[in-house]
Amino acid sequence: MINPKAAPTPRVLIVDDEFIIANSLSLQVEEMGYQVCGMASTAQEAIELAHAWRPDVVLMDVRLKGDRDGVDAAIAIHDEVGSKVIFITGSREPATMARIQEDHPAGVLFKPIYGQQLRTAVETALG
Amino acid sequence: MTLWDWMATPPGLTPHGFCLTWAPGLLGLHAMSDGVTALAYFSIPLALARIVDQRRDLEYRWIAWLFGAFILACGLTHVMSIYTLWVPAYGIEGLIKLVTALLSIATAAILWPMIPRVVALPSPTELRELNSRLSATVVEQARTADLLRQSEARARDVNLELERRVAERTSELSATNARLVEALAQQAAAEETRRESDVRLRLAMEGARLGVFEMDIAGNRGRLDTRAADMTGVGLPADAWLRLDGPELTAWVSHVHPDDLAVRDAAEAALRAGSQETVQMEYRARRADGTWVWLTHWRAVVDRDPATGKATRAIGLMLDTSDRAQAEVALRAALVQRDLLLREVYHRVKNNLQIIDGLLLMQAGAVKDPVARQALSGLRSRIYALGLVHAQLMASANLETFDIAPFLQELTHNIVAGAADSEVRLTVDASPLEVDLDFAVPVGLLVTELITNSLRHAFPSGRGSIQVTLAHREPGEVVLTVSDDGRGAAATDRPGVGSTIVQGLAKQLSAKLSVVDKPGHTTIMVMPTPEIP
Repeated sequence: MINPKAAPTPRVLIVDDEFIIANSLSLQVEEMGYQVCGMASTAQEAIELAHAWRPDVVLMDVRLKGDRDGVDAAIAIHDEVGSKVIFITGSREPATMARIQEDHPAGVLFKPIYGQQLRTAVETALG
Repeated sequence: MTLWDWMATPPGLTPHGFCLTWAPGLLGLHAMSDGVTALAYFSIPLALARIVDQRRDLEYRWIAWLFGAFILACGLTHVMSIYTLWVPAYGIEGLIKLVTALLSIATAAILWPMIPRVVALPSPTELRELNSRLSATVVEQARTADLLRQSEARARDVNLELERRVAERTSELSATNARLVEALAQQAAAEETRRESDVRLRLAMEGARLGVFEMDIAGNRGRLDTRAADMTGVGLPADAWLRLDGPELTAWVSHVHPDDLAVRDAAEAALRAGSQETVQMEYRARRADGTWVWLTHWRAVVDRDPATGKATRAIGLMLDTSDRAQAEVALRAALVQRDLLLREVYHRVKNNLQIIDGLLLMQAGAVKDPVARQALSGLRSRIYALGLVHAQLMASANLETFDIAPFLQELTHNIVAGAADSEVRLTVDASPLEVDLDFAVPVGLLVTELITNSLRHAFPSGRGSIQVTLAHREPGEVVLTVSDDGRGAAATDRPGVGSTIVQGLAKQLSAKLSVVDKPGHTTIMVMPTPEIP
């Protein structure tokens, strides 16, 4: 499926502990013409997949199963892999926003996500 | 011989005339002289009797009677001298002489001692003099009496005046007295009222379990009553004046929770400076047994220095509010818990809507029929509207209401932006309006439906503009307008799900729905302003 020698199709890693949401994000990303290199549901899994696939963009849910949240994973991935991280959060609370800003995110999307929001965010992150 | 014979005609004796030898000249001389003497003597007692009878005021009247008797006796001796010239009745003559002698002796014996007393009797000259003096005195007395009468008249006048003034003064005094009595009654009533309010105050203090802290700031001393002393819980003496900066009160302040000292100090400073009439402070204090109490402490200025305005006396009321403070802490915790739970619920609803959206998206990918795809796409926009309402609620401070204006902005922009390949311009002009879930959900769905209609049917060229306005009209009425400048008669003339939704939700909102078709298409809804509790 993945051919490193092929034209550089941007890789996107999707991190969300809700399968249906992750899957629908994946469908939308593929529809945009990008490659979904993996779907993770925990911070640990996300970091491992990021190391393995070095994605250009990570769509990161803030609330994750396990003892580490999406911000923990994003900081690790940002520092170790250098991927752009777009947070997807259900909360607009100041505490969550402050937590997200610790990672200098490439974008923040608030649920519910609709229409062109996702496309715009990913295209902006990829520059 | 009888005694009478012996006295009247003693035998052997001769009449006195015989001694005179019956010489007619001698006999006549004796008889005549004795007769005249006797007559004179008999007349004197008569004169005396008359005098005594006329002069009733004479002193020693009995002397006159004695003289009368003695002279009468003398007269009788002379009569007997005549009788014995011819009859030798020497016994009777002797007896009469004896009586005369006895009367004479008695008179003489009584007269001598009487001399000083009779001499002492005032003489007529003296009496005249006395009388004249008396007359003068009488005149003088009359004059004095006259003066006295005048003086009495004046005195009577003065007395009348005095009485009048006394009456006047008495009446004034009565009035004053009445006023005084009334004032006393009022004072008594006021005293009664004061006592009653004292009792009420005491009852209120007891009932409310209020402690009293008196502050004599000028005198640098303070006093707690029993309840206040108990409240502090560190064994402070009750009803005793303590120095405000003395060891007992300083020790007590050291029991105040360090976090609450600033509050307490600020209130204390404001009160002392006189910048506030009353202050209230709440603080925790550690009792001797190690437990903490919440105390609410009110203080009010009673007296202040007229020059500086600083408080010189203050009264404080203390209340142990530990129960209330604990209840408040519990309530706050419960409220925080409630907010957390509500946010969680909104979050989960939103997340589930996102999952449904995901499912629809996945389903749409498997559907080839364009009509079915469009129907699924329509469902997605409706679900988005529902999710966005919950996102607003999560972000609202009270978790119940939010301003619908930014919601309408975000909703309509994302729906318009979500329509692929369109160059439709959107203008939103929404007045701020605080709404709850029951208003926001139908309005959100309505607007979604109307905009989706316009996007699908109004602009065959893919170009045009849509305008959304929300305005307050009459008090209690808002007007929502969704209009486009497209070809008109777009959707509502075609019975379908969209039309049913619009009609039904308008009814649910008690909105008057009107449509203006051509130019463009305009839907106007006039509805009552939502009532926010």
